[in-house]
Amino acid sequence: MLKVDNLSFSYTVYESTSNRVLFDNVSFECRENENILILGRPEKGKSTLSMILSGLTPKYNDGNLTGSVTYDSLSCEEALERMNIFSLVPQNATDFIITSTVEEEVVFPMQSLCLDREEMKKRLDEALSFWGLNRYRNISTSELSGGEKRRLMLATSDVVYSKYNILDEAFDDLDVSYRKKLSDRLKERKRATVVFASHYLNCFDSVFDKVYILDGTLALADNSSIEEFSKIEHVVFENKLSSDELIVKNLTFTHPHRSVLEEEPFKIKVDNFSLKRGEVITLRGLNGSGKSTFSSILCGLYEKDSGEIIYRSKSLKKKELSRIVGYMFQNPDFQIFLPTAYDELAFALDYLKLSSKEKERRVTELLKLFRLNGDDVASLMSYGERKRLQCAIYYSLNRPFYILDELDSALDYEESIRLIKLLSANGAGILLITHDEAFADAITNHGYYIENGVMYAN
Amino acid sequence: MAKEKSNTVKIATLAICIAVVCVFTMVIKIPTARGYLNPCDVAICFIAYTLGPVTAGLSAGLGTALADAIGGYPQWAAISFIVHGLEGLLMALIMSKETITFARKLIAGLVCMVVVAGGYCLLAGFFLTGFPTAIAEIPGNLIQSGVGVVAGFILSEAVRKAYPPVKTISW
Amino acid sequence: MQINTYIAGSSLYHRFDVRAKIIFTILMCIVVFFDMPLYVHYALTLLITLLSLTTVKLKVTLHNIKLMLPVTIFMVLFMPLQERGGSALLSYKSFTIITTEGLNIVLVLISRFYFISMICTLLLESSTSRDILLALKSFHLPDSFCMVLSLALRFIPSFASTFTRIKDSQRLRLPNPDEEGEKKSFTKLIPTFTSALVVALKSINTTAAALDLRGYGRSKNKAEFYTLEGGKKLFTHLAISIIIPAIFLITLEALHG
Repeated sequence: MLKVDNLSFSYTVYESTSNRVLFDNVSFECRENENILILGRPEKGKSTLSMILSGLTPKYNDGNLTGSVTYDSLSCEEALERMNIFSLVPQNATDFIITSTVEEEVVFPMQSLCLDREEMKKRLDEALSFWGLNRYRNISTSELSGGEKRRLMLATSDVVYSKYNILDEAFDDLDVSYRKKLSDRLKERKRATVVFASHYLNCFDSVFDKVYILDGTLALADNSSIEEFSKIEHVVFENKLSSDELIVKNLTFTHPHRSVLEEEPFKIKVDNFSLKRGEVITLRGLNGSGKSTFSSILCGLYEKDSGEIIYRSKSLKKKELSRIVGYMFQNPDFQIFLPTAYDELAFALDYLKLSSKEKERRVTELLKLFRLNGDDVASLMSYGERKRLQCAIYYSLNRPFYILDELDSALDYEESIRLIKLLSANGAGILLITHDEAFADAITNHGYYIENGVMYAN
Repeated sequence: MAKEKSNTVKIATLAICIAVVCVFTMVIKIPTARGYLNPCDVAICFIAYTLGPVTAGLSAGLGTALADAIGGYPQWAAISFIVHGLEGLLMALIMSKETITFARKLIAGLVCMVVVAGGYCLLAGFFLTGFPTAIAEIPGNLIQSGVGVVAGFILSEAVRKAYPPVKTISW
Repeated sequence: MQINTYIAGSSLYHRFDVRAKIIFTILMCIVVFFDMPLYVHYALTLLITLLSLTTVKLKVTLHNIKLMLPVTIFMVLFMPLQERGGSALLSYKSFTIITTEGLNIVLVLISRFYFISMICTLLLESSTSRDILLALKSFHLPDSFCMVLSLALRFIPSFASTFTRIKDSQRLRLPNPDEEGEKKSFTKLIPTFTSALVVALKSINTTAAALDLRGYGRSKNKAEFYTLEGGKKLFTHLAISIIIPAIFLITLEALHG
């Protein structure tokens, strides 16, 4: 039995006296062959808890941990010795990949377990075919898509045959068929599983024996509290829609596909797309369907093969687009390089050539608006704070259009809506990329979705 | 409060540093008047400044050697390993004190330039291309390593300020 | 970014055991420094070219030669500086441009450079990086070192593409990204370099955690899924890799004597 008793954790920020208490008084049990679901909003500590259960935090991430985690009365501190007992499927698949090909990645933990070669081969074939990775055996891990990486992590965790499995947002990047496979497998109850998720998905029905909600502490959830958790208020953005429109016509683009498999190159086809200033629309689609590619074309990173992108009756070239469309990358760390949040915002305002007093006033205003502390070291802030900093930087750029890539997976619903309101209130048109259907429906009726590179209107 | 570094952290640190040096050598080409400069010395200087002698020496040597092997110039790999490995090791030893004065930086920079230019000249002269050609490479190497070191110091300061925990990484 | 130097094929050299190949490469690179007549140098050059043609075909061989050209041209250009004190071969009025000895030395240098380049490139093109790492492990390189190398190879392509994405996103956060793209200078690259280094350093802890999670260091003798074939084939190949340089040296001795 996995027994978690009175767990409390706070991150120690480097050389700072403030401690971010993530949660305390977390207790639960998971018996053999039981399935447990822990729901939690972004930034509430799901991934941290999953790393604690795997004995990796605080070993590799500084923090104060009190309480105990035991598997069949053994402590989990030495994850190394406990490989047969528990395994983790991490949320951030990319960071956990340690070899160069798919096959080597799945083989690695089996080598550590000292299995004999026949057994390794058997488990390898089993896992790769279950997760549809057989064709990718010798593909470089750096060329996999998000969904494929997720399946790779699942396969790598499968071959260990551990008694307890910890899945952190494992359902997230998977498409419908694989989600069903995973939930069917959980229903078989061959192993005990703890699943962390930020949304309650349909495929969760009748899979879990107990459901908890993690929010400062752990609370058992029933149907009504799950509904409450999943509810999101319908929002109306009261912005004046301007007649300024970004129009895309007959766009095509061929994505250079990965080198090893002889597959059809990936094509993007957008016949009609339009975004008005002041409007908020969504773009949905599965992982790998072309959302990021389309956004990269729209913001001037890639050159389209054919078609037109028109703004104010002028057909825009690649270079001009980068001034019109601000693409907020999913990873905020790519744009942060200065010591403090204050420095970052001051740098962003440099181009306005303001007097130092005026600049100080503006930066303070921005900090307040985005609820940031100017003295905080930018790279050490929490993920949500870094995302808000990135937002503040883009806000100060005053672009006519913004593309927000998966904003709602980094921030709370309320915070996401607040930021979208801020950005669009200035008259900007917002394209929100998301795969959260409920959130997308709550904020707007208008939108598009991409399937296999072809865009359709809702 | 220095935590005893576990094996896995040491391996991860070394591997990532090797990859950083390799990418700086291969992927980045800064165009100047005389052609391209490759900023491998920028990365090596940063690693020597921030991390310990073993990490710096090994990552500098292996990173550049790998870059040569992958880029289609394997004949230079062994020489790069020796020259840049020595460069990383010596610079890190010079800068191993807690506070690094300007004098130390200057000495480290000069050592870097001498080791790179001299090392390539000697080894290439003996083993690969003969001395006249090797000597002709000296000015280019001096410029590259000189600029690289200066840039490396600027970068080291910038990274220290942007990410203070970098001080705890060395082993 | 493609970091694979391996070019698939089924030639004899491809199937030659990788450990024997490494030993062969090293020994031949030593042999090529021995004193020998010019025609022997060029015989070696011809032989290695033939090996390359049979192993990786014409297009790749030509590409490899192309990479050697710049340095070779330099060596030819600097010929006048070699052995100024020798007998004049080419002179203008009373000024000696090239000496016979100079020409000789440069021809030897070119042949040697060509040979070493070609044989090293062939090694990388006829063996996968995984095989080479396995060979190093069987040469008793410590397991942790092999882990470091394979981990580094995993990171190089992804750092390369991350670097490009960071460069793009840094450019896009500037007010006038279209103009900024034109001017390239180091100061413009500092934000990218800083960001890239911070991202790289931040990934250290997670990578270490991943190694831990996957059981690295769990036991002294871990199992090996990938192995190099041993037995008679290995013995034969090792023998060949040593005998060829040996015969060569013996022949040279005989020629001298």
